[in-house]
This record gives sequence, structure tokens and C-alpha cells, in this order.
Amino acid sequence: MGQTRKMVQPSSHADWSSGGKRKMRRGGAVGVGIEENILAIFDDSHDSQYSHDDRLAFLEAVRATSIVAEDRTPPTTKMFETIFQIFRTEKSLELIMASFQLLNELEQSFPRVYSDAGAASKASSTSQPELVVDEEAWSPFTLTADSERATSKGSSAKTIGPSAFHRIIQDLAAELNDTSVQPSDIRSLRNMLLFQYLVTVLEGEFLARMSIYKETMQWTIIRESTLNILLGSRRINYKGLLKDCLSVICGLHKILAGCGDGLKFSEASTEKSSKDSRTSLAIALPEVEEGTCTVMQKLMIMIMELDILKKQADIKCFTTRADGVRTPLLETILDEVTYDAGNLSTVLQVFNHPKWKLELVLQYFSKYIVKPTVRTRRRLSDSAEDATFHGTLRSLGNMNSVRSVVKKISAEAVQLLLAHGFQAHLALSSKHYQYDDISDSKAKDSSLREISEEMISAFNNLRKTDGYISICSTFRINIGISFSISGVILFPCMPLISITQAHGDITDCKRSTVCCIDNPLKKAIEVSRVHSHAIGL
Amino acid sequence: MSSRLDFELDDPLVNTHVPAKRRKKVIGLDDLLADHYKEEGKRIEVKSKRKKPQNNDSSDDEDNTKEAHLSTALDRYHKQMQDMGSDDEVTNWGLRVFGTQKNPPDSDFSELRSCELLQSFYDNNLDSLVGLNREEGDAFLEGLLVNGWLLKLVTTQNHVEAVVAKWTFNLMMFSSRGQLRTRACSFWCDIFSLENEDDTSYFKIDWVPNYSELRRALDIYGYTHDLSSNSTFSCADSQHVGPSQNIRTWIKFVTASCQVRSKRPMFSSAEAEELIEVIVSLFLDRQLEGLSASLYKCMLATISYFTDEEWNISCEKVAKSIANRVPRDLNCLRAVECISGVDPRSKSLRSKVAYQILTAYLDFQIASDEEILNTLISIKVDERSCDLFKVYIYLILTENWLLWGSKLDDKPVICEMWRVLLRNCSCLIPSTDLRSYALKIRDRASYLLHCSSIN
Repeated sequence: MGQTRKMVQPSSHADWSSGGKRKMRRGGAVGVGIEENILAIFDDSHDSQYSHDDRLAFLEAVRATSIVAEDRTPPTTKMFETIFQIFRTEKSLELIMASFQLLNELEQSFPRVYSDAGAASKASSTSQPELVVDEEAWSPFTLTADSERATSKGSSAKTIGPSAFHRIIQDLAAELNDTSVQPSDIRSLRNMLLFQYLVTVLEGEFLARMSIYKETMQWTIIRESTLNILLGSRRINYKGLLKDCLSVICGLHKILAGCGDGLKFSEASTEKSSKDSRTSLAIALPEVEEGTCTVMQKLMIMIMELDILKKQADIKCFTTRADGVRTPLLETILDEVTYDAGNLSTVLQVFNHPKWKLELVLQYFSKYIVKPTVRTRRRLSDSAEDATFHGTLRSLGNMNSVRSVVKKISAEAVQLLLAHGFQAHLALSSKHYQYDDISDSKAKDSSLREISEEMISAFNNLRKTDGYISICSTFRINIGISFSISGVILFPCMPLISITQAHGDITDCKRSTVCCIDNPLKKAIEVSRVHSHAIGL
Repeated sequence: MSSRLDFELDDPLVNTHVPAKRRKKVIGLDDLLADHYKEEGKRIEVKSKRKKPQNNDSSDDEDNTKEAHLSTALDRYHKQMQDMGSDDEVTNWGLRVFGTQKNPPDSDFSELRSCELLQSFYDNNLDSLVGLNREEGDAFLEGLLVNGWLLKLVTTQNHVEAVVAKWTFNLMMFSSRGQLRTRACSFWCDIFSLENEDDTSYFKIDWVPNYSELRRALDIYGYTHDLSSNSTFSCADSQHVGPSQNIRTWIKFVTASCQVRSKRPMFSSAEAEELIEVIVSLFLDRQLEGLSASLYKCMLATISYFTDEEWNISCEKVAKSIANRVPRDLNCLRAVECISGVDPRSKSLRSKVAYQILTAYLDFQIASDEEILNTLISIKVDERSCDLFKVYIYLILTENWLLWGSKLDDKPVICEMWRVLLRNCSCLIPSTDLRSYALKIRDRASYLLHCSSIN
């Protein structure tokens, strides 16, 4: 019996290399013979050590032919489906990790969408890179309406549709924010890994499409991206999805910030295997949570990038009514943060991507700083476009506007925003950060010295308002990060000013700062005293 | 024994139930019983099985005497199976690499309060302004670290003071506060990656942790380098048995520090060799199963740490030393399979490790490839006395050695011998063979044979 199952007639590689302009397969898929042979390893029987080993052997065999072999061939759809099924249904950590690893490796080795830039540049240097979409390639997403309907009926969905995607995020949010549930079971771990994998898939495709879009400016390239289709699907509540994303990322951040005083075992168990698996879960969980937090940030950044691209396309009238209208993610975040001030600190901390952190800070301020010019809230989005950190600081140099801002949002929030804005600004203007697009002008528009001085003057104005003093005294006592919140604002300005004061140009003097920090620092304080009417030392 | 049971062999009741339990490859009860009494060392699911025959007893009372016989025979049969099952229980990989955790070193960072970073505050009377008092200097620095400011300050000055470096390293390796250790780890990783990305940036770091610091941290986590004498650690104090959560930051730090070799060679090649061994043994601990993704990354980084010349020598050395250390059971297969093989180096390491374990297993000091294969071919897999567990390990090791190493195309003799071995394993073992590992060997061999006929 086994004989017939295992012995498959050898056959030659199937030839897939033909195809239309945008349907191409690089190389051939795994030959039919190999597919059957590998799939034969995979046994459908359940609950036995044998099937566990068979599954591992199957994953290892796919890995050998598709990743390790010198002539790598992508697995067939059926093989992909099997791996994905193992990933989504198995309960053993070993199998989940192995299939997760394999799926990610396959994703890297065989991108579904990629730029044909190499070939194009050979043919002629002027031609634009072409987008190559492998339509035949398996994807974990199903975006057509029919299949979505089919999958919502059957529980054994082979791929993920828009509503299933939203459900995954909802589940994550529910698990994270329900403190009564100990999220230590394998299901929540697998759910997070599944989410990570799905975002990796979305990201790979979206980045490839975006790089080509930047050269060709064809909106259809972006419109056809899985991310855009997914978000535009009527099967999900878009706003709800964004809120769930935000709640996941905040929940994760809170857990990670407070987590981990060694390993805790709820009960002492004498059984070796179960204790092992509990320990391995306890060790794996923070790792997976960290990864999920990073990946969620990636997803949100992609959505924000998509919002900007869509807006650009709107302006150029490339979009049609079919593209629909979506509230930009940044606005959703701002709304959430405005209504729940406790979230502000979390959101600012969790978004460590400087470009978007600065964007968030600027848009937040632009809501509350009344500009002396004719700009009104009606043109909010336009004014946000050309707002800069420098400009924001300049308005905070004005005592009246500081008073009105502090009335609307607390001085604590202003401090927080300024601190994070300054941090993001520093990161953007540092030479290490490779910025490539819109916001580089925002970071570069003024020298660090000016910024630092304006920081100090804004800080002083804050001190003069009544609200500041009371808040300051309380948070010095109790909030854990109080030191850094206030330290964050002023302290970094000092060495910066000292550098700029002593040498004029920041890049020239970095090397010599170490030795001459003391003296110029004093100078710097004098400068800042003059500029900002006595700091009050 | 089997003659006593002749009258039962045709019983349809038993025939319908028992084969369904087994994987579909099993033909029927006759083979099953006959083989069962002949062979030993087979594993089988027992519990569910025991119930069914009993149900049959109650539901069907046509022929009582026959059934009484049947049930007693079956009971005996199950009992024996249970006994055999327990003989055979250790069938999975997994070692305890971590024993009892030791206490982290008492580190006194009082000099942290007088470090340059903080000193500049006091010198300029800024301390009151930022809410800093002298007793809480380290708490202030913790705030800076958690909020990412420490890295900013350090990059402005391109200088990391020794005390700050030691303090962050200590947090990363021994802090029980998750956020602090993660942030301290990303502080170091960011510095390394800044140095890596940018040719012009170089940090003046007054103190850089060396290999012995890393080993010391591992020892404190309870790591034991000796895998062979893997006695189970006493589980009396379950709070402190097993790896510490800090192992995650340890792995990340090693990965990052291997990646800055061009700027900052931190290990000698002997030390890097030992790191590879450590990583392999971490793979063997089931408690770290969930970290396999970061362990893979770490392994690749460590392997690429070597220069080409170093690697030629080190690869062999690492392989030998791993072969000497891993126990001769399924763990040695795990040790081979954890080497990812995505790049040529790890591929050749995997092949070499498999080869070394194989020769150590066969007890060959120096042998030609042909001799090894000849020995393997001469094993009579169809004989009852043959230790199939060993054969299984040999087969997988040989597979890894031959298929992951240099191409077989230019070695027709080896290639042909490999096929003979595979044919032996796949054809001499019948599909009804119930010895444990018989079917595994058979399936594996026929799969490999098939693959080799395609390529």
C-alpha cells in the first residue's frame, strides 16, 4: 500500500516559462513528480507522533528543493497550501515555528511581485522598470468576492480574505486587552505569527510596487496592490480595522514595557514534557510579541504611505470613484489620541519611525496652534502639509499661543509632543538617517541650533504658564518616566548648542566634542540665557 | 503462540477496527498479530484501542466462548504493547542545556553617577532644571535609555564611556525588567548597525564586551557546555531551572556583534567556533524552540563572521567538535538539521557535521567515503537483529553528508553506492514491517531514491 503511495513515476520539470506581459514565472515550478513525491511524505492521519514527524519531514523536503537546492524551484500551489495549513492548524510549537520560518524564507526567495529593473536597464538605460506580477503564484490572500464568500462558510479556509484578516487583528486586540486571559496558549502565539507572516507578504509586494510607482507614477500599480484592495474591501469596517490596529500596538507596548520578571510557572508540574512546552512558550511569547509590535508598526506605516500616494493620485486626478474614500490613518490616530490622552504617550513611544512620529506631532499641533495668518481649520490638511517643526516651535515661542495651546491640551501633552518631535527631528536631520522623500525638507529647513534655541524658548514659555508648574511637580513624584520627559526637552539641547556655538557647523565638530564639552556648554547656556530671557537656573 | 490464535484471525470484528488505527500502510490483522509476536520495539497508540474491543464485547454476544477467548487474548496483547511502548518512549530530540540559574553578579554602578554624561548636568547646575538629583543618577539614565535618548546623546558625541557601556551591557544580560534589557540590547545593536551601514561613523567605545563576558553570562543562566552527560537537573527549585529570559537579548547581541566584524572584530576565530557550538546546543534545548528564528539568524551571522581562510580551517574544527559533543540519538539529527544551509558556508558546515557524526558513530578513525558507504550497504536491514534506529540515523546523516556537500555529479561511484544503499533500505523492508523506524527508513529511502532519479 505504501509502495504505491510513495513510488511516483519520475517526470520532467513542467515548463512554466511562457506567459503574457505581466504573467511571468521565473524558472519553473517544482516538477509534478517532485510535488507528488514530497506531498506523499505528508500524511493526513492525525494525532500521532508519526504524523508529526511526517509533517516535519515534509517541511524539510520543501525547504531542500525550494530554498537550499542550487536550482531553486518554487513549490507548487498545493505544496504552499499544505505548508500554510500546517502553519494554521498544528498545535506543536516545533511545527509552527518550522512552517513559519519556511513560509518566510519562501516569501523572500520567490516574490510574487518584483521590479524588472535589471533587465530593463540592460536593454536601454532610459526605459522604465517594469512591474512583473506572477499571477500564478500562490498567495495567502484571497481577494475576490467569490472565494471570500466560500471561505466564510467553510471553517477550513485555505487562504485569508479581507474579513478574515480583520478578524485576526480583532482577535489579537481582544486577547491583548483582556487582562484576565493569560495569553500563554499556543493559539495566540500562532495568531501573532500568522499576522506577522501576512504583513510580510503585504509589505514585500507593496514596497516593490511603490518603488516602481515612484518612477512611473502610474496609480494603477498601487491600486492593484493587495494592501489597497484589502483595505478597500467592503467586507471590512475600515475605521474599525484601524482602531483595532492601534489598540493592538498599544496593548503590545504596554505588555512589553511591563513584562518579564523571569519565567513564571503557574503550577509546579512534575511532567517533564509539559513543563518544557510551557517554558518554551514563556520564552517565545515576548519574542513573538516584540515581532508583532514591529510588524504592526510596519503595517500602519504602509497604510500611511498608501494614504499619501492616494492623495497624490487624487490631486492628479488619477483616481476614480471606484477607489473610494478612506479616512487617512494619521487622522484616525489623532482622533483616538485626542479623546484618550493616556494613549498619547504610548502612541508616541511606540512609533519610533522618526518621519511618522514627526508627522504625528506636527499634525497634532496644527490642530491646536492658532495661526495668526488666514489659515483656518477648514484648510487643516493643507496647512499640515507645509507645517514644519521649526514653524511649530516658532509659534510656541509666542507666549499667547502657548497659553492658548496649554488651555486646550495639557502642558504635559505639549511637553511630550515637543520632546518626541525634537527626537524625531534629530533623527531625521542626523546624517545616519536615510530619508528619501517628502519630509526631508521639513527636517532640513532650519539648523539644529535654531531648533535647539527655540526648544528652550518654548520650554520657558511653558514654565511660565501656571499649568506647567503644577503638573511638573506631580509627575516628578510619580510618573516613572518623569525624569526623561523633562530631561528630554532640555538636556539634549545643551550639547547641541554647545557644539554649534563652539564650532559653527555641527558635522565638522562631532569628533572634537568629547574633549571640549564642558567649556562650550557653559557658553551655550549663556547664549540660551540671552536668547530666552533667563532660563531660571 | 500464533497457532493458539488461529481461530481469531478471521474474525471480522477485529479486522475492521485494528487496521484503521494504524497508518493505512498496514495490511491487516493477520500480519499485525504475526509480526507483533515476532518483533519487539514497536510503538502504538494504546488507549483508544483498548476501548473498542470492549465495546465489541458488550454489543455482540453471539458467540460467548469465542469472545471470551478473544478478549483475553486482546487484553494480553494490549498489555504487551503497553510494555513495549514504554521501552521505546524516548523517541524525540531534546536536551536540557540549561540547569539551575546562578545569581547575577553584584554589579555596583555607583561610578555611573559621576559619568561624563551626568557630570555635565551638575557642572552647569542643570540638574534641578531637569529634575535630576545626585542619588538618582542611574534612574535618570534609565529614563534616557528607555526613551531612546541615550543613543542620540552617544551619537552626538561618537563616544561611549566605559561605565555607560558596562552598565548597558549588564542591563542587557542580567536585568529582569523586560523593557530595560530590550532597550539596552537595541542600544548596542543600533550602535553596531550604525557603524556597519556607514563607512565614516565609528564610535569610540571605551569598553567592549568580549567573549568571556558572553560566556560568563551564559554560565549564569545555567548553561552547561557538556551535552553528553545530560543528567536531568534537579527540578526542586522550579523558579530557577531553565534559561533566563535574557537569553533572547544574548542571542540578539551575539548576532549584532558578529555582523560588525569589519569594523570591530570582537572574537578570535576559536571563540567564534565555540559560539557556533553554543548556538547548536541552544537549538537542542526544547525550551528554546520558540526562538528558532532568531537562533537561525544568529547562526548565519556567526558563520559569516569568519574570513574565507579562517573558515576553511574552522569549518572542519567546528564539525568535529560538534560531532564529539552531541549524544548519539535523535539529538544528533537535530544538530545537523538546525544548520540552515541557505548559503554555501552553512551548507558545507551541515554536510561536514553530518559526516563527522557519521564517522564517529561508526567508529571510523580515518576512512574513505567508499568504505563508509560499504559498511552501510552491508547492514542487513531485513534481519530481525538489525538495529533500525541506528540505520535510520545513518541514513539521515548520509543524506545530509552527500546531498548538502559538494555536488555528487563528479563522483559516480559514490553516487551509485548511495543509490544502492537507498534501494536496500526501500526494497528490503516490506511495507508491513512493524519494527519501529522500519517504515520511516523505507519512506525516507524511497523518497530520496525517487528524487535522485529525477535529478
